[in-house]
Amino acid sequence: MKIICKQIEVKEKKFGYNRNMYEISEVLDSWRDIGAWWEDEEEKRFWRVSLHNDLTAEIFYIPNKKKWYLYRLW
Amino acid sequence: MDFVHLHVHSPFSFLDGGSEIRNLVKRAKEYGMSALALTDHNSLAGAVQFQKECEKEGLKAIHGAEVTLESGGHLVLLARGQEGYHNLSRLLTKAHLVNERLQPMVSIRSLWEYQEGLIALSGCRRGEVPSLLLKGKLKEAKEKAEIYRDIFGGRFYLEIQNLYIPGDVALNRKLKELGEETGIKLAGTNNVHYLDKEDFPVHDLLTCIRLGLTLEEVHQERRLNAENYLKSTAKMYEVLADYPEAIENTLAIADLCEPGLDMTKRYYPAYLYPKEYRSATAYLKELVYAGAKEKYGRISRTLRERIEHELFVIDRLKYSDYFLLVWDVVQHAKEKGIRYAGRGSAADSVIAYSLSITEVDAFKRGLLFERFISLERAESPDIDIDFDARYRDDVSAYVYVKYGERHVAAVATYHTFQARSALRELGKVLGFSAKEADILAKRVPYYLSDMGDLFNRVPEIKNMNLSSVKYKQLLYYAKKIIDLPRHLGTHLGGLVITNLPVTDLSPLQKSAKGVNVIGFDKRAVEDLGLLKLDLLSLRTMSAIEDSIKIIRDLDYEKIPLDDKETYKMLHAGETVGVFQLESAAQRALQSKLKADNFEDIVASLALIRPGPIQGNMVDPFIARRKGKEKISYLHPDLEPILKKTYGVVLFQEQVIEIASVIAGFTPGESDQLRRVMTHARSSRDMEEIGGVFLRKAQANGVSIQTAKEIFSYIAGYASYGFNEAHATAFAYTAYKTAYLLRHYPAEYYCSLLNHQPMGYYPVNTLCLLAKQRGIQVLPLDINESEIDFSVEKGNIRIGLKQLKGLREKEQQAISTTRSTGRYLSYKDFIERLGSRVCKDSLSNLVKVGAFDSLEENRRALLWQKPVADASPLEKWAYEIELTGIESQVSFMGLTRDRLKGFTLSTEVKRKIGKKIWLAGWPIRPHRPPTKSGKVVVFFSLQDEVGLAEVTMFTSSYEKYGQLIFGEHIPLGIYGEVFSRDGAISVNAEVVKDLRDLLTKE
Repeated sequence: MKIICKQIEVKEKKFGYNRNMYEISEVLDSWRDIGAWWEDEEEKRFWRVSLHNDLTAEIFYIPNKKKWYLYRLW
Repeated sequence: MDFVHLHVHSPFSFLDGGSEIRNLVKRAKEYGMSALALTDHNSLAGAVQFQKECEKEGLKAIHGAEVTLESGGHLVLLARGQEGYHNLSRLLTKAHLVNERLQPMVSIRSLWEYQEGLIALSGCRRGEVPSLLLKGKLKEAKEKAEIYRDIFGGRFYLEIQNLYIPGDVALNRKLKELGEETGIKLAGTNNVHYLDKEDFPVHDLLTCIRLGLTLEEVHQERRLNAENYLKSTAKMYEVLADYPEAIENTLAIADLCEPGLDMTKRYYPAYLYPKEYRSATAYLKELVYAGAKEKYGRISRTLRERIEHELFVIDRLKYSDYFLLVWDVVQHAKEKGIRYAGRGSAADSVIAYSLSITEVDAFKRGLLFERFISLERAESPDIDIDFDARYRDDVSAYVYVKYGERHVAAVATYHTFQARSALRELGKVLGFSAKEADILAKRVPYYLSDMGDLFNRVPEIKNMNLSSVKYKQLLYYAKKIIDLPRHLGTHLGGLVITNLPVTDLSPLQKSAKGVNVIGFDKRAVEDLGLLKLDLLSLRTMSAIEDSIKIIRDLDYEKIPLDDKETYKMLHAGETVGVFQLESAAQRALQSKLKADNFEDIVASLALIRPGPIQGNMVDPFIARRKGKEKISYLHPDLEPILKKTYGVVLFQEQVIEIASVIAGFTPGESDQLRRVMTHARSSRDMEEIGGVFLRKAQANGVSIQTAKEIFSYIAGYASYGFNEAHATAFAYTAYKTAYLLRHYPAEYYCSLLNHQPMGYYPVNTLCLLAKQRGIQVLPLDINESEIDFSVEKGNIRIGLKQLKGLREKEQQAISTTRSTGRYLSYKDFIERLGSRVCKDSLSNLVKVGAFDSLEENRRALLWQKPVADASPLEKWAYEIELTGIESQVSFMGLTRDRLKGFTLSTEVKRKIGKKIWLAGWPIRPHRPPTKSGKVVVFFSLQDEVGLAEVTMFTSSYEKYGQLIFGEHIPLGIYGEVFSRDGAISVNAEVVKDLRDLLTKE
């Protein structure tokens, strides 16, 4: 499965990617990943969500940057 | 709103706990928590410290452990109180002793056997129940849960954690459903492994060390995030918001638990004294008076008063059994002919002297008993005894047999990360090669705790061009892990003896030597009120014993303490090999001090220590001793106390006496005062103590001005003072070994060589100094060498055991076979020994010249064909590599012709005030702490005829430090020769690597 890692905007449980809008219907799981702290990589907060169109996505948020990213989509 | 953390790891979960116990407890207190649990992996090692810290902070201590089951899964066990604690300790003992060392496992049967008083939590993801749920094995998970429910009844809980790991959400949901199905309640924890989120890197690094990984490597046991910290109550409510019942139950569990250790009790065994005595004290009294009659002949009134006083204190503090126990051990040693000597503050006791525990006459010396034990201090006595290293284990075995294996165990010691080990281990994790990390570690002075400034302060490190981010990270984190426990070891001589079975108080584990070790270290043992005996090994005792055996007609106990020849030798600083007096600093002191009585030796031992050196006490002492400085006393009452040390406060006992005589403190109160002064951290503390002293001194008729002067005088010296009793005990051995060295050098050096490693100097230096005394060091010889070094017509023959790689069986074979007839030739040797000596050993024997007396050409023997023999340099190389000794030729001797203009070490004393070049091998370079904080390096330089002392100040150290502390290479030193009151040293200005000069064609 391809890793996307593109910045997105999440508003009211919706986000856009590749000219499509996706709506989050359920949070399946969530976790936090501290990453390569020795290289000053920032902590990422992940959510695995199911989407309105039966797809599943993993999105993550970097609190320090206040930015959202789409990690994977399938 | 309250919360209690029930699953917490400290650094006693080796390489899995990143924060110290006291910080965890303090933080729990700051959060307003009422209790805290400690649940280290398979261990209760932190229990005493933990309970102490909790009591200090007003928190309830809950003892526990996270145990490893036979399946490999984890289970958290908490003790409800003392019974639960005993059971947990017994359970862990079984887990450790029944299984392979360092792989403790708890069986289901053990859980059934020891469940009383325990509460169980299902554990982290490595718990059996959670791990089965994660694998989707719901039926098996239920079966497991029911087993634990059956074992623990309502005391088994399913542990809910929300650590933001993938799958946690689903796992917790399944645990809740399982709980509903089985009637098992939930409990909420955070599986704490460190204090703050920011401490995660330390924990991750420790994990990598534990797993042998570099930071770049992925492993399932490395935590994904930094959530395993000690979260606040509010945070725990937040993360467990979906499971309020878990929090409720957690608090209910905490309510059920009480601390497992009674820290007010003492667990001393009772000594089985003869029935006709009404008490242990009565028996002790009889033994003491019998011993005193033997030692003193007539018991004067004052002696009796002293004995009665000591007996009174011992009886009041209920230590009679302890003294009888120690007496019994030394009696056993005496009966078996095992040499021993008591040391430490026990030598302040007349009772210890009368019982022959120590050889210091505390009465004659006027030593204060209260330095050892006092009613005011009421701490457990601590008696250390040095035994002949060969038989120390026999003495220890006697204790086990006498008191029973269930009641005796070795004390633990915790090997902690120090600067060097931290750098080595973290270096590997951060991706440095083992060689790079090792080089860096070797260049760190052992005492350097301020890791951050290494670049600037240590030239050897500056010259490594360390500037990258990685090196900075290495130094930063190395500093963080210094002092964290790394693994458990065995205290060198400490044994506990308990009235309860030891396993009620601490789990036992097997040490590498197969000895049962209690989980507590010396400090925890003392805090818990356990009786500890220190039965130490001292190779000096072995060397003395062997010397006496070789000499034959010498009564060691009757060696006179006023032998002029011995003192003359001390004046010349020729004390390499003398117990406690052989370091360069001691040799220099002896040259300056010119000791001519036993008291001077006692003082020497107290003077050469960081405190007096940094406090600038050494030179004033010497000046007064030699009459170059006037001795004056601030008050006439100080004269009898300070006369023996020429007015200088040198001993802790003197501080006690002064406070006692001037301010009217009882000796016990004075000792308390001394301790407080030693540990006082702020000027306010000192002011407070000073206030009490001044008031009491004035009430005692001392003027305020004098009292103030005296107080500041003793306050300055309180922390530097040495225990006089200990110095005296050591001084006896120091003087007597000096006597042996002076009068029986061959026998004494031979014995020292047989008990290496010991002492300050390497074997080759000892041999050189033996040669300086006219003793030849005879090479290894197939017909003349015993297994050990031996004395041969006043010379020393190198023993077979000194040959590298020659196994004990081979040594025995050579020696036994020879007893039927000497070896006539190399061929004869091979035929008679056959395969009992392997090829490599045979080759090594040839190389070092063991066959030289039979067949001259070593190379021809090795190659088994006619060839030219090895050159002298090659023969030297073989010998130094394979025996560590230059018996016939030395490298410096062979290359001396290339050293035109260099001065021999023995000629240095004739060049005072001149600048010279010296050449040799640096021996024992060291950088002791100094008052100014500047670095001064001391080392000896060894050439073919002797040792010269070299001093290197900061500017030279910064330029040449890496040559001194790097590889062991021959060096050229240029500098001026100084004499400081008779102690001669070269102040190194230039240091050169002489390898090229001495080895190039």
